[in-house]
Amino acid sequence: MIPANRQGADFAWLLLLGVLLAVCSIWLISNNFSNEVALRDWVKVLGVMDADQFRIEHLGLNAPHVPLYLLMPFSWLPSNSQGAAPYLLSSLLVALLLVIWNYQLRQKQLTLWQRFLLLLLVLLQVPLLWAATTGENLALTLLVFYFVYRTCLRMSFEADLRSFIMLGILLALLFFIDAGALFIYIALFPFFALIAPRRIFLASPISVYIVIAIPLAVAVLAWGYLGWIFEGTANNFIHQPNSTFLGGWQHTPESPWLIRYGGQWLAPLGASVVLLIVYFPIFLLLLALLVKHKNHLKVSLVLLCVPLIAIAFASSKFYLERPVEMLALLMVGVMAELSVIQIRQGWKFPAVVLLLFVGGISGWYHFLQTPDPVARDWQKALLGHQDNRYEADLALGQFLSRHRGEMLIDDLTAYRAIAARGDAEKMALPRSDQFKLQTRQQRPDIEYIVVPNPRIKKGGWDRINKHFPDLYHEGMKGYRRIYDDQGWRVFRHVSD
Amino acid sequence: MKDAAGDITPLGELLVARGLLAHKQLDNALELQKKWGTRLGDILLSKGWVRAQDFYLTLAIQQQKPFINLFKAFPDTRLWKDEELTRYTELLVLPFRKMEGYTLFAIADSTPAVFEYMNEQSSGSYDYVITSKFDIIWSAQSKADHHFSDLAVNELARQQPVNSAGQVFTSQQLFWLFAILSTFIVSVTLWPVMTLILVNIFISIFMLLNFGLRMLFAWVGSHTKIDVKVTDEEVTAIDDRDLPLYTVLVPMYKEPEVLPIITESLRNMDYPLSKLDIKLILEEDDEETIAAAKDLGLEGMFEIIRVPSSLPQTKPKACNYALNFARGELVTIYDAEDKPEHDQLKKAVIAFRKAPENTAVIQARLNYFNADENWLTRMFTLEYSLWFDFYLPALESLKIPIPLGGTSNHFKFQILKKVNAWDPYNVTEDADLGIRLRQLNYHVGVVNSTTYEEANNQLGNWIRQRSRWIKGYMQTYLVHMRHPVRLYKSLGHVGFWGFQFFIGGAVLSCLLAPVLYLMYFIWLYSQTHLMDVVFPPIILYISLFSLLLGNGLLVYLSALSVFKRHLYHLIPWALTVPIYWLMMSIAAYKALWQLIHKPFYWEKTTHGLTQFLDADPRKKKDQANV
Repeated sequence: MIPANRQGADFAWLLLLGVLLAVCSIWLISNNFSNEVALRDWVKVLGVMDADQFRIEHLGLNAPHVPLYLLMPFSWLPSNSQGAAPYLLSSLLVALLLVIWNYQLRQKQLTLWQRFLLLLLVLLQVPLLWAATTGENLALTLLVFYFVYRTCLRMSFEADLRSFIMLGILLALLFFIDAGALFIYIALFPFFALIAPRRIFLASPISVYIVIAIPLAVAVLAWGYLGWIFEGTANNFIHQPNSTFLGGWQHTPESPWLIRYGGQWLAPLGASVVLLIVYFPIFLLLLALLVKHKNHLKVSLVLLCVPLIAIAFASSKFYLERPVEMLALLMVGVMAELSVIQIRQGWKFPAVVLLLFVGGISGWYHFLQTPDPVARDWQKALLGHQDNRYEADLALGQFLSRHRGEMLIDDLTAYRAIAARGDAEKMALPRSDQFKLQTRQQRPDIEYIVVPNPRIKKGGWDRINKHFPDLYHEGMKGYRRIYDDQGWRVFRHVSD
Repeated sequence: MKDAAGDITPLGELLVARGLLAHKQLDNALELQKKWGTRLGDILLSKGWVRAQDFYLTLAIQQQKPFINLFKAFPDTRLWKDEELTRYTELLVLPFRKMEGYTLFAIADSTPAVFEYMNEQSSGSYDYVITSKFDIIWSAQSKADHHFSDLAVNELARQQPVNSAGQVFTSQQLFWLFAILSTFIVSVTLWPVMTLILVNIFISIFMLLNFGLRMLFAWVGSHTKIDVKVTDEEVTAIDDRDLPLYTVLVPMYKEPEVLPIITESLRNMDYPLSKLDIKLILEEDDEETIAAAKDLGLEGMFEIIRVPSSLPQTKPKACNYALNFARGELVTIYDAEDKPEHDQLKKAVIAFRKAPENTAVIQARLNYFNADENWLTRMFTLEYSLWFDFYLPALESLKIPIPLGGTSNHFKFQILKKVNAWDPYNVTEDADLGIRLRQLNYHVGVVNSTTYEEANNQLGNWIRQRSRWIKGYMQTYLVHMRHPVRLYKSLGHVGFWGFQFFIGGAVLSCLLAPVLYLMYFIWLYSQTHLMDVVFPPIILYISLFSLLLGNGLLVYLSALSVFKRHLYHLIPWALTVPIYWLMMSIAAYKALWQLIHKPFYWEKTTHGLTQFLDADPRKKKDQANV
C-alpha cells in the first residue's frame, strides 16, 4: 500500500509531465506546425460527427479506425478550431503510457525521485516526444506495443494462458490502430518459437501460432468483410493506392530514408542497428544485466530484433518514411525492460540514467541532422519558427466559418481549411449521399461549392473538379463566385 | 469373546482364528488403520478382504450377541418412528423387538454414538443383537419406502414452495408474459417500424453484452491464481486420518455395462476406502442393473439403494431418496460413466478447508475421455473446457451464482439437507441448486480437479440431452425470477445480472441465434433493403460488431479452452463451433416445446455408446506429473 501523500506526489509529478507535453504541443501548433496525417484524420472525424446521419463507414476502410474513434469525443469540445485534437490525443496517450510506467516502476520499489528522473529522461528522448506531439497514431501504437513487449516477457516467465490471450488480443488491436503493424507481425511471428514457453512450443508449435494469430485473423477478415459490405470489395484496403495499409510509397520522393533505403533489406537493417546504438545505448547495459537470466536475455534479444527487422521490412516495401517512428518501439522496449529489471540499487541506476542521457543527446543530434521534411517542420516549429505555407487554407477555413450553408467540398484537398473552420457542419463530403447526388447532376443544387485550382497538384486530385472540370475557371450557371484567394474559389448559388 | 486374560479378543485376531482372514491381510489392515485412522472392520470390508456376512457374524461372536438376519427375522416396525428413520440409517441401528422390560435393537456398528442412541430411545433399558448394515438399510427401505419417497419428492415443495419447479409458471409470470406479448402485438400493429427497431435495439445490446461478459469470464478465468486452487503439494501433505467420511452418490438407470467402470474408478480413488460411503442408486424397476451390481460382488463400502417407482422419475428425486441413507460429512455425485481424477476427493476436502466457512459446495471440472471419437464429441469437449475451465472459476471469483454441473459437485451434507437438497421437478436440478445456495448466502466454489465423462457421440442422443439441459435452465430461470426484487436483494447487482446473462442469456441466445442467422442470410442473398429501416446505423454497427468480433471471440475462446487443457489437436476444430451453436438452437426450441408440454419429463441420455470406454485421460496426466 502506497501512502496517500506519496500517491499525491506521484500525481503531481505526472501532472507536471502532462502539462509539459501539452505546452510542447501548444507551442508547436502555435507555430503553425501541422501534420498532414493528423489533420486528415481529424477532418475525417469531423466529417462523420457533423454529418446529418452518423455513418462510421464514411471514415473509410483505408486506415485503421481506433485512433479515429478516440478522436471523436474531442469533436464535442469547444475551441478546437485549429485542429488541436489529434495533438492533444497524442499527448494524452503518451501521458497515459507514462502513468502506467510510473506505476510499474513503483512496484519495483524505485523512489519518487528515481522515477521522476527516469520519466523526464524518457520523455525528452526524440522518439517519445515525437510520438507525443505529432498527432499521429504512433502514440497509441507505442502504448499497445508496450503491453505487447511486457506480455511477451510475461509469457516466457510465467507461461500462463492469460499471456497468450493478451498477446493475441493486443496484436489484433494493433491492426485496428496502426496500418504498419503488419511489419511488426512479420518481424515478431517467427520469434514465437523463442518467446513461447518451450514446453508448450515443443508439444505443439502450430497451436501456439494458432492461438496467438486467431484474433488477428478475425480482425483482418472482419475488416475485409466490412469492406465488402460497405464498399463492395473485401480487399480494397490492400488495393487502393491511398490506403495507409499500403504504406507511404506515394511520398517516396520526399522521404530521404526511402530514397536511400527503399526496396532494400540488409542496408536498412544495418542502418537501424546503428540507429539503435545511437538512440538507445542503454540496451547494451540492459542486455549485460540479463546475462545471468538466460531466458529473459533470450526474449529481450528477440524483442530487440523485432523493431529492427520491422524497419528493414517496411523500408524494403517503401513503407517507412522515417525510422524514428519504429525506433520509438524500441523506446517502449527500454521502458518495459526497466519496469521488469531490478535497477534501483548500486551502480545500476546511475548507469541507466547516464546511458539514457547519452542516448538522448546522441538521438537529438542525429535527429537534427535528418533532412526529412515533416521532421524538419517539427524541428522548426519546436525552435519557434512560424510556418506560413498554409495561409491559403487557413484563410479559406476562416471564410467558410462565416458561411455556414450547405456546401460541396472535398476533404481530400480542403482538409486544412476544414480543420481551420473547426467543424464540418452542412458539408457534403465525397462519401456522403448528398455529394453523390449533387455530383451526379449536370448542375448541382447546393448553396456553396468550394474548389481548388485544378492546375495545381492538389487541385488535380479534387473530386469536385473531376466532376466539374471547368467550374474553377469558368464558373457555373446559377452560381456566383464569392471567394477567390490563393488557389481557392467558392461559388454561391444564386437564382437563375 | 474374551481371551485367557479376560480381555475382549480383537476382531482381527478373531477373524484370523476363524480362518476368514489371512495374517498378512490383517497386518496390512493394521498398517492402513494407522494411516487412515479408521476402524479395522471398515478397512476389511472396504478392501473386500472379508465377506460382509462373515464379518458381522464374527462381530456378533466377539460381542457375544446373537446374529440376526433381518431378511428372515423382520423387525417389529411398530416400534419405528418416522422421524427417526434417517437416524436409523445414519447410525445403522433399528428397534428390533419389544421384550419384557427392555427394547431389543439390531445394530451393525458398536460405536459409542449407537449405544448413546439406544440408551436415549429406550430410557436406558435396552439390549441388542448384531446384524449387517445391508440388512438394516434393506429393512429401513422396505418399511419406509413411502416415507423416503415422499421426502424425496415433496420436501422442497413443502418447505420452500417458491423454489420448487413443480409449478412451471406462476400466475404472476403468466400475467406478465401475457402483458408483454399483448403490448408487443398492439405496438407492432400500430407502430411496426418503431417497435421492430426497439426489439432490434434490445437484441443487439443483449448480444453485445453477452459477448462482452463471456470475454470477461474468460479473462478472469484465465488467471493462474484462480485456476489452481489446490496444488499437488497440498494433496500430498494432507493427513489421511484427518479426512472425513465421504458419501458418494452414483445414480444410474439401465446402465449395467458402465457399472464396472465407475466402481473401478471409485476403488482407485486416492482416499481411504474405509472413509467412503458409496451409494449405487438404482431404480426399483431396473432389474438388469441391480442384478449386474449384485454380480460384481462389490466391497463393503458400496451399498445398493433401490429407489421405488414414483413420479417424477428423475435423477434429483433418486438422489434425494438416497440422501436418506447417507452417512458422510461430505457428499458428492458421480454419473455411472464418470472417471474422476484420483485425488479429487482430497482436493475437494482441501478446497473446503481453504474456502469461506459458508461454503456449501465445491464443483469439480468436467471433461470428456472420448473427445476424439467424432465431431460431436470434439465440440462437446471444446464447450466443456470453456465452461468448466474458464467460466465457472470466473463466476466464483466474480461472486456470480454458479450453475452446478451434473456431477462431481461436493457438498457439505448438513447444508445439503438443510436446503432440502435437489428439486426433483427441475431437470437441471444441479444448476438450480447452485443458484438456490447462493441466494441463501452460501458460497459455491470450484476446484481444479477433473472428472472425465462420456461425451455424447450420437446426434439424437445429444439433442435429447441438450434439450433437457436447456429446459432445466428455463425452469431454473423461471423459478428464481418469480420474485425478481427478492432475487436482486439476495444476489446483489453483480450476482443478479450475472444470473440474467449466464442463465437467462444462455437460453435466449440459443433461441435468438437461428432467427438472426436467418435474417442475415436473407439479407445477404437477396440484397434486400427491406430490413434497412429496422437497422439504424448504430444498431447496424453493434450487430456487425457482434457478428464479426463477438462470434470471432467466442471461436477464439473455444480454441483457448482446449489449449489450456493441452488438447492441441482440437484447436482447429474450434472453427466449426458455429455449427454446434446452431444445433444448440435446435435443442433450445425442442426444450421450449417440452417446457410447455412435458415440463418434468426427463430425457434420458444413453450412456455406454462410446467406443472409447477404456480411454483414460487421467493416465496421461499422471504420466505428465511423473
